Amino acid sequence: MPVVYASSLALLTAAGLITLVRVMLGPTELDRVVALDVLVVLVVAAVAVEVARTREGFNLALLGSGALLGFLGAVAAARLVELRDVPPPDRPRPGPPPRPEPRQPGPPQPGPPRPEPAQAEPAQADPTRSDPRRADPARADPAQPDLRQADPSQEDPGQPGPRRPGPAR
Amino acid sequence: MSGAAVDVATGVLLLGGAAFCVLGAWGLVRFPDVPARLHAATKPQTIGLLAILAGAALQVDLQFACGLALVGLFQLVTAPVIAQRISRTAYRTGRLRHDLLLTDELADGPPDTGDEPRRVDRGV
Repeated sequence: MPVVYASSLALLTAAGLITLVRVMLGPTELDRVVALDVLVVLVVAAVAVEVARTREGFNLALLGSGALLGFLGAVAAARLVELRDVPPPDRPRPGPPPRPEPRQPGPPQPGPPRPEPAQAEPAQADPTRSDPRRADPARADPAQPDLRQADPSQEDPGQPGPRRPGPAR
Repeated sequence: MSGAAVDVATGVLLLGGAAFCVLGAWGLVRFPDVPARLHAATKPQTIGLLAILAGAALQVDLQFACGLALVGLFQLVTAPVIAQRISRTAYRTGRLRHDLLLTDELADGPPDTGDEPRRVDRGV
């Protein structure tokens, strides 16, 4: 019986390591979200094996909270990506002609936000002048300036003024 | 039931569940894009976790077995929700390979592309 427990834990560990490969090289955030959710499930399974090994149920709270946290984390992360990246309805959807590759959430914090308020200020009226500068350091998300840089250029001809305070929050 | 039979059933369930988990992780690495990886992330993982929970439930008392069953039920409920949210986000943000799709039933536009302001709470 100890052989069974040990080999089960070894298999789960191997599965976790394989999953970590996907976490590391997942090209998009959604791949990482999926892989991290799988990792949480693997941890829950390992704790269940431990419950079977010790024949005590004291880790059941850990099981339940792990499952709950995995669910909440995955849903919240998916929602974050959706709120950040889903185009507004007046823009053409990413249909069968595939979009260019999803932009990398990489370096461009210091660069783009600087010229961006300068572009936005002439187009905007006065009240929103302080908004972009104040909002930029507050948002730690690297891809956020990228999206907001892309937004006004395609959204402005359609809906100039009153729509801005909504998405800019 | 004799103890040996329970032990054999536990061993089979634990090892089978762990094997399913490994297969799910392997599919997660091998499959090409987000919706395909969701297949590997939800189905074999859920089966593997349920088998492991069943194998563990055979070894503990009834009250703890009920707790394990609750965890399994919770996983059964939440895995499709996660898969739906993530696949919906993947489709709507273009993070999938259209050349791998056999059919795209949302190509004409999902039902919520109409004249309403931006809402992200509605189903696709």
